[in-house]
Parts: sequence; structure tokens; C-alpha cells
Amino acid sequence: MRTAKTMERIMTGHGSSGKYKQKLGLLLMAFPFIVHMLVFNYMPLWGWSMAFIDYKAGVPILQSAFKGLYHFQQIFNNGSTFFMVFKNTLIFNALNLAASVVPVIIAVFLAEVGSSKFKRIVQTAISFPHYISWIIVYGIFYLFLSGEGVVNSFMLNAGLVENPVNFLQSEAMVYPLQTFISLWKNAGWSAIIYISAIAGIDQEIYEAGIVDGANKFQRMRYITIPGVMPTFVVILILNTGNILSAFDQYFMFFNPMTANHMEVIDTYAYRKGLGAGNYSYATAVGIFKTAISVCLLTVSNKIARYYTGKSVL
Amino acid sequence: MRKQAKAIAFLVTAAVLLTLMGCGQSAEEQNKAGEATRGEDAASVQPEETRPEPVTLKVMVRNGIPWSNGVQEDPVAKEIEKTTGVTVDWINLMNVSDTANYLRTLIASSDLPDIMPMSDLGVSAFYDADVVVPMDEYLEGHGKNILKNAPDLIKINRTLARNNDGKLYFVANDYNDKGISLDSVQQVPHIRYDLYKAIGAPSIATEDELLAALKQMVEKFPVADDGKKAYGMGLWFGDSWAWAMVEKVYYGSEGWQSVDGYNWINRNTGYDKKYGFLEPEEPRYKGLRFFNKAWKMGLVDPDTAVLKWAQYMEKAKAGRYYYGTDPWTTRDFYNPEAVKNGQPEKGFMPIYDWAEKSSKLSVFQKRDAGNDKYFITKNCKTPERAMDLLDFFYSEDGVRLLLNGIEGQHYEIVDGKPKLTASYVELRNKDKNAAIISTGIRKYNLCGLGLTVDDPKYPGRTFDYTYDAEEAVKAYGQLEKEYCADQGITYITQKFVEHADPFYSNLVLFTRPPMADNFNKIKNELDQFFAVEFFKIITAEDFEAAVKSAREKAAAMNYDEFTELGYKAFDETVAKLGLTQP
Repeated sequence: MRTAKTMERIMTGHGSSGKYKQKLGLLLMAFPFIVHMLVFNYMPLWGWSMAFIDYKAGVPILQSAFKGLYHFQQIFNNGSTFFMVFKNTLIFNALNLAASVVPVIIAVFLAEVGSSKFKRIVQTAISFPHYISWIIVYGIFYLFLSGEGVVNSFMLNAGLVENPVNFLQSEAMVYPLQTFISLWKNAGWSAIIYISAIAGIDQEIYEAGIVDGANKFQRMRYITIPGVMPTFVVILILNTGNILSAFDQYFMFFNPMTANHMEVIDTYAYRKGLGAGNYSYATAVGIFKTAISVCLLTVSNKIARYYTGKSVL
Repeated sequence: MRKQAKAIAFLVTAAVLLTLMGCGQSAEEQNKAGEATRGEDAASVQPEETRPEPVTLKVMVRNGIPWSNGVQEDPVAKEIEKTTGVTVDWINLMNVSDTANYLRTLIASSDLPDIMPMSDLGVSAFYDADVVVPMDEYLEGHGKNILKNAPDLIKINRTLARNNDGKLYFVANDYNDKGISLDSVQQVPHIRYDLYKAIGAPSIATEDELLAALKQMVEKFPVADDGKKAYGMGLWFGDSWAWAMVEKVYYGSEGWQSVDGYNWINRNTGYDKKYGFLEPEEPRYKGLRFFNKAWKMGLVDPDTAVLKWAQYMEKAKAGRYYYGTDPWTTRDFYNPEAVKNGQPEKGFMPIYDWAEKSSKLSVFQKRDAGNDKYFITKNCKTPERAMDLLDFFYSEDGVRLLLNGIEGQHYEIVDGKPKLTASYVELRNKDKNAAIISTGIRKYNLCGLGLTVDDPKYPGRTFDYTYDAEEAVKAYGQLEKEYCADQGITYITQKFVEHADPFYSNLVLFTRPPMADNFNKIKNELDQFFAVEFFKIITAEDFEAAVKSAREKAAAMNYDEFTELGYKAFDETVAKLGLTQP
């Protein structure tokens, strides 16, 4: 009880030692995280200078040859390839953004489940894949979808196909399959946030709904979904800022047959830049990606504010 | 309570700052700490008056198998320490998956060891960073064995020195080695020998005969040991480097050698003959044609496009493939597994008829320029001692130690000839890799002189005491003995050795000076291009049309310029060294 009161005094600044000192206490608590952010988020920005020089490992940045915008020009000189990569990135992420309603749906339906034990089991089961590394995810889907995989064995034995279907090699299936895989891995985890948001909705509104004769679906439609919408908008905007960042999944599932569809900006920067030791070019691609991300974030924030009156910036 | 909150805040802050400071502790400080403790250990080995001043050096090597980094406790490491006074803190590059980026990171962070190889990254990266110590000033005083035992090595490496300054920047191991063992041969087709015998051991001198034999084997033995479907062959195109295996169908057996990893010369046509991208004569075209035929015959694992190396390895271990180009893609996995499963009669062996079709094998290399280039870095505080250590690896005693271990313990002299001890043979035959790690024999890939160089102390014997038919057969199991008996030979690679005609095949590849920027720029684009295009060609209905399409795409990537630059550098090197035609 004493602790709660003390914390309250600290948080509100109503202590006997004065407002300033208490703010200092808060500042001290935040200090390690500020340091962490400066060291790991802001200091590395110095590395952006590599995009404007001909960086070679071991040669100090200030002693390297200045190349101006040469590496940025190279991005566009590789026009058709980079355009393809950019297009792939946008397609994958647009699909992932579209699929981001799935966790909301999961959370909404899960909230209606009566048995808390069942709810917990489902929640744990669907959020578990989030903790699996992408290389294991690749192994799992390989076991299921390869030519000798479980799915093909079933289809062959059932006489549904004459020859195995190479799902992982199919160009036609790249986009839907990868979206499904991403969803399988992350939907359960994302749903946790929405389940928390739903738990925060005032129960009296539901009770009022019941009194007014609303059935389960009507309560979901008119109470739960509007209640969870602010959280969804915030998450959507934050995800838009991250829209161009994707590496592990596309790197792992990359193969020669789907190469033209699976190469995204991050894997491209890795292969053409880091993989070949061309750090300057990789940095230029990274800066370009960041610039686009900031634009997308700003635009989506404005759109969200215009339509819903809610935003994060 | 407020005090408590402040104390917690202070402690958290202090912990974070201390952690950050801890991360920043320099490698030098860490070395010094290690040096101090290990220096005390070294002092106990030899009496003070005879012992060179103890010093610890960090040395990076690339061994065939992974083992833990750090000061090693095996007898060879102890003997090196005892003889040279150098406690070596070893770093094994086999522990690192992305060696190129790892090495670049070490360069960028000035965290290089004292001695290291160049070959994994290429000379330019080290020269550009100015981290290489020229050895010339230490050679007279600290490199007597190198001067005495490897004169051509110094001459060649000085001739091809950075900026033509004539300095010696590195020495390379395996000097004058022929590049072959009596047990194993690289880059010639390997086949499941027990199954091959079971179909009547037909002649396999052409690719059509090889494919026909594989077809028969798959038809007769459609499932592997684990009950799953077997295939003639598989590749791991899920990892981007499988394309490099395509050329190996013909690479070794027809006398091919890459001059830069992409362009070719051939032992039989000489240094002047150049080859364009996927020309019908060159080994990649032939290799692709072979795999395309195999694909059409249903011999290639249909999951080849998505298999990663680890998955390929699992399938190979389970005996699901009947063919592979190198021992490390088949024999090295499957044969020990078969022995472990109580089936010593099963396994892979090289195809002999294939060897006989060509009289010039490029599996034999005249390594006057050595193999992996080792240099002393500018991080080294005691370059003289580093030179002493390198020099020891070029001494006769050092070479014997690295290749054969300790006299009396791992080998003994019987009737004036070196023989492996029974205890060592037993240990090695039980588990080859475990024996390497525990004894230290062949563990450190820094042996100056090649395995096949004659040991002057024992006339008629090479420095590698297993390079002797009598010793080699001690490692043979049932399959190897049957194979030798069937072929009428004493040791496995006998016919290959008989066809050998060493030439300067890997000279340029390993010694080549830095390449032009445009060459490197195009090269950076090629790996993925090859991975995608080669798989398309392998699976194409119309092989020639797919090859034509790949040639057109290569032309659009300035491949002609790339080829021209590669051959130009090669010709310049040949001219500088005054090499005669092979």
C-alpha cells in the first residue's frame, strides 16, 4: 500500500520533496533506456555516411573516397531489377496489411468463447508459431509442401493428382502461400493485443446490449469491433511504417523457381550489398527504403486521421 | 521508499553503463589477460634457460571440420608451444558460416588475429585496409626454413606482389603438393558402388552410360535404406551456391581449371584457348546438359529447387542418392553412416572408367604458389615471433608434427621407416574427425610443405606417412577392400594417380593479384543469376533454347567484358611468371 502511494506521488509529482526532484527520479529511471536508444538507434545513423563514400572495410570513413550520390544512382541504374524488387516488396506487404484483419477476427471470436480453459489453449496454440525461428518454419512447411511432403502424399494416395505439386516452387502460388505462412506464424501473436483491447471494453456496454436484445453477432458488430478499432488503426499505422522491412521469411523461402517474385528490398540489399561486400550500395538501398517508409507512415497517418480521427503522429 | 526507487534507478543505470563499457573492452586488453595466464602455463613446459620467451598469438585457420576456438590441449598444439614458445590461440573459420562478412567485420573493427589466411575474402580487402605486414625484413632472421624449403613460393608471390612492389606479403601452405590423397579423389563422379555392382557393373565412360547405369540402379533399387524413394542425384538449389556443382561433372576428369571462379582454361588445350559463356565445349554447358538429361529421365530429386544443403545432406546420409561429383557430397556422409548401421559393404566409390577417358586430370595441381595464403596482420605486436611460428611450419620437424603427430605416440620408426602406431590407427579408424580433434594431427591447416613432398629423412616416403599404400589400406573397410580387389589395384586412387600430370592449374586462382573493379561488380551479380538460370536450364524441355536465353541475359549483364577482364588478368599472370604451356 505504501509502495502504491509512493509511486502515485512520483507519477503525479505531488510529493513533499517538490515536483522537480520527483521528475528527476523519473528521468533517472528513463536514463538507461535513453542511453540504449542513443547508442543502438541514433549512433548507427552515422553509418549512413557510407552511402556517400566508397567504403572498404578497415579504411576509415573520413579517409574513403567521396562518391556523392553515385550509389543512389546505381539503384536506379539497376532499373528493371530494382523495380521488380520494389514491386515484390509492396505486393507482399500490401497482402500482409490486408491480412492484418485476421488477428482482429480471431480476437473477436475468441472473446466470445465461454470456456476460459479452451480460450487459453487456443490462444497458446495460435501464438506459439511466433516463437519459432524462420528456418524451422521453412523446415515445417518443407515437410508439408515439398514434392514428398505430407500434402502431396495425401493427394497422391487419394488419387487427387497424378504427379506431386511443387507448392514451394510454384510461381503462381508465391504470393498467397507466403501471405498464409506469414499469417500462420504471426496472427496468433498479433491477436493477443486485440484480446487485451477487447478486455478493456466496458462490460456495461455489453450488458446494455443484452438488455436491448442484441445477439452475439450484433454485440460483436456494434460493440467489440468498434471497441477494438482504435487499437487496430494504431497497429496498422505502425505496420505501415515497417511495410518495406522483411528479410527472414523471403530469404528462407527463396529458390530459383520463385526468384523473380521472392526478392524483396531487404534480401536484395543483402545479396547485392552485404553478400558481395558492397556496403555502400547496401546502405544507399537502406536509406532509400527508410525514406519511402517515412513517406508511407506519414501518408497512412494522415489518411487514418482523416477517416477515423485517430492517429499516432 | 523514494530512496529505494532512486537506488534501483541508479543500479539499473550503472548496470547498463557497465555492460556497454564491458562490450567496449578492446581485443588487445582481452589478449593481454589471456596472455598473462597462458604465459604461466607455457613456462611450466620447458626449463627457463632453453625456452623462448613465451608469447601468445592468435592464429586463424580453416580446417575441414569445426572445433572450438581457443588454446588447444592436443599433443600437437602442446608440441608447437614447447618448440616455439608460442601459445597459439586458434580460431577455426569452419565455425563461421558467412566467412566473408565475418572477415570484413574483423577488418573494420581492427580485431584481426596475428596470423590469418587471405583466401576466404581475396587479397584486395586486406590490401585496401592496409593490414598486411610485408615479410621481407623478417625473412632472413626468422624465415630460414621458408627460404630453404620453399624458394619458388617466395619467388612467385613476390612476382605477383601488390602494386608490383616485389615484396612478400604472404606465404601459402601445401607448397608443392600434388593435391590428392591415396584414399580420396575430388571432382570425379562417385557412384553407389554396391548397387553399381548389383546391376552388373556396366562400363561408364560417357555421360549417357552413366545416366543409363543410374536409371538401372534406381529401377532395381527404387527405395533407400529408410524406405523412402531413391533418386539418381540431387542438388541443393534452395541454397544459392549449388550452381557451382554443375561444372564438376566434367571438371576434374577433363583437365579443366577455372582461372577466376568463372572462366576456364583446359589442360589439354593450353593457356591460349579461351571459352565463352556456356560454349558447348566448356564444362558448365556439359554439366547442365548432363543434369538436363537426368531431369528428363526422372533421375533428379524433384525437390532440388527447394533443398537446402542441410536437407540434401540428410537425404544423402539416408542413401537416397546414387551419384555425386565429390566425396564430400556423397561418400563422406553415406559411407560412415553405413558402417555405423552395420552395412560396411555399402557405399560410394569413384568411377574408374571415367578417369580413363581423359589422360589429363585437373585434380592434380602443381602448387608452387601454395594453397591458402597466410599473412601477418598489423595487429601483431611481435611479427618476429609470428614469422618464427610460420617458419616452424615450413621446417621438416614442423611438417612431420602437423601431418603425423608425435613420434612414439602416433608413429614410430620400424626398420628405418615411419609406421603409424596401432593405437593411433585404431583411434583414427574408429572416428576420423574425433581423432583429428583429440590428437591435433591435420587439425591445423597451416602445414607449409605439401603432404606429397618427399621427406628427406626417410627416402622413398613423403611427409605424409599415410601417403603409402601399406599405410593407406589400414584405414580400409569391407567396401574399400572389395573395390580395390575388383579394380585390381592396391589403393583407391591408384588409377587416378597413374593418370596424373600435374600442372599450374590453381596458380592463378590462388595467387592472382586484385581484379579490376568492373570485374568484381559484374561478378557480384553472377551468383544469383547462375542459381536461377542454371536451374531453369536443368529443368527445361528445350535445353538449347534455355541455354540461348541464358546467354542473351548474360550478354545484357556485360558478361563478355567480364570474361575479357578475367582472361586478361590470367594472361598477365602467366606472362609475369613466364609459364610455359601445360
